[in-house]
Amino acid sequence: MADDAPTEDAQITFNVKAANDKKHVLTLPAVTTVADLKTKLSSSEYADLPPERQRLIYSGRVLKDHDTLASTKIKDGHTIHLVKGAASNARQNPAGAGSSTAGSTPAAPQVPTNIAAGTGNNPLAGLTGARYAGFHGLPSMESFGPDGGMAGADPNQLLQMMDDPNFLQQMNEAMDNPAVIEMMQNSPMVRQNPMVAEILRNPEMRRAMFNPEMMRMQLQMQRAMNQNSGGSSFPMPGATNTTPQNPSSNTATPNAGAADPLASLLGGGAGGAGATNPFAALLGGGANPWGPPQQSTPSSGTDANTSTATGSTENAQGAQNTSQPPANPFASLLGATPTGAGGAQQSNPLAEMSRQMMQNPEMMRAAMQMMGGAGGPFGQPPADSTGSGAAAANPFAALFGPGGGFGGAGFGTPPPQDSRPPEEVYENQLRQLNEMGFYEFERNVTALRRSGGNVQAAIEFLLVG
Amino acid sequence: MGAKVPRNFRLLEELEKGEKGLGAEACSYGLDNGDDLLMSDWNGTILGPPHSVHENRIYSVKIHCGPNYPDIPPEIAFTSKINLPCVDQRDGKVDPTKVPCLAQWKRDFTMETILIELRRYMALPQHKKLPQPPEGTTY
Repeated sequence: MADDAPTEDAQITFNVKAANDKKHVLTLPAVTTVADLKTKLSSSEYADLPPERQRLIYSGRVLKDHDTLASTKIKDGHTIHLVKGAASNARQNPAGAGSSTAGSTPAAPQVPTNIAAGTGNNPLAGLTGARYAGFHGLPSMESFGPDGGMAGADPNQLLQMMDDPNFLQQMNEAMDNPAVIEMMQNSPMVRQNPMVAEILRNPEMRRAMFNPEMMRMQLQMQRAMNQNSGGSSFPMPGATNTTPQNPSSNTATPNAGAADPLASLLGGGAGGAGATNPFAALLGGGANPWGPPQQSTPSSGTDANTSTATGSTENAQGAQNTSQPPANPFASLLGATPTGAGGAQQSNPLAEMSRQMMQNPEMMRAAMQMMGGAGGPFGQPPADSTGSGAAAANPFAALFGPGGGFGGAGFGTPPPQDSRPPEEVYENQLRQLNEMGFYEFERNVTALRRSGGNVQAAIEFLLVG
Repeated sequence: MGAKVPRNFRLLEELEKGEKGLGAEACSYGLDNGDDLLMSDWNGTILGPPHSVHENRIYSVKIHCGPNYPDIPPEIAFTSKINLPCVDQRDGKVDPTKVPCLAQWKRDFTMETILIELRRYMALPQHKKLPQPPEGTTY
């Protein structure tokens, strides 16, 4: 460029380090102003960023446009950091969903990384952005409670949404998008619990968790559990008539009354109502592991299922006095893989995961929280298990609750307090930490809390923090 | 424990690291005045952590390394206005008791450590949503 600058001005060779780890080496005369430098950097050969959006930082200072290289005292071999300044909003969302990506860029579906300050604090903001707001109707106003959360969400509406293929497609798209996953992993609830993070990382598990079919089942279960004991326990989606005529139980139900909640579970796998019956979906099309004739109890299933099914039955009976073994949100996690592979009979990639999960109380708790209010009858009930299940446990609350309202007992609430003192809860871990030379009780406990009881992670935290 | 690196050597080391950009991407620091032989006054910048209100913001801080650095932590003051519990809203000074790495200062912490810690402090769940004064305002 200005190579014909006065000769007494030494050329300076320096690096410009951009955010994406790109490094540009430039040699410029010392009289070059920062504005000139930005113009030079704006070319596609370098940063390809308009000068007004470039922020140059050297030595802890933001360089002003009228500064010259000499006045910034930059020397050979030094490095200037190039940072992308706040984006103008116009540049962010290619309007509409999908159709406008005709550009030459190999546009992998991308959640805007430069979320403006307003929504930046919501880990799931990307989901509410224009990209995933395509065809389906957003939940109507009435689904938001007075506090802006989803407290009053109408499960029927959500179910309806689930039936919309457009919506499903978008859900799938979102779930396959690494950026979305990353955002979820960054949400504090997930980040602080390595096990949950692990689950999110497992694509199989993830797909299962966000499988709309699964969500639908869950919603229905919650509804069933919250309803009074009269009426059908498992109304069809959208059914307004909750009289005991459960359509799914009309065929091949050995000694089970029409209103028997088990009927749909144990009833013929080939039952005509398969599609609408949540449990038919749960057990997968024809490969019903608990075949109709034996009428065996769920506990004859394979390991992972056994532990939860039986365990939760007891709990459920104790806590809510309903005898519905299948009304177990975990069943939806454990039982059906999204491929409908007939529960845990095959070597199920989820089995291992779920077994781990069962053994980790911290994890259980987190999972329960995700499941929300319906977790009442299980294990350690959250402090306020009175929350109306459908709203709180609704996975959509997390997706659609921008800003404050994650609704009821959803993501927003702190973990239910374990009433035991920390020295008891983390007795083993604390001893290990002590043996390793970490003696500060308070810090140890904090670290363990953050890591969900994982010693390794706690040590990392102690060392770094 | 090995030999103690004297203050000036230590600061020279940090200066080189800062100028050459060898450290973490999100922070930068350097001497306020290149002729300052005592290397006491430094500038630092922190890039706001992503997924927080600080995203895309650049915060400037002043760092003062007293004669006893690195045995005692330097004094930090924000030049850019920022709303954080550890920052005095009147003059931008960072309250050392509220930032773990300053409260439990170790000799081998550097200014970079502090900047990174402050950045992380901004990104804490309880801090990352705090309403912030308009960008570009200073104390």
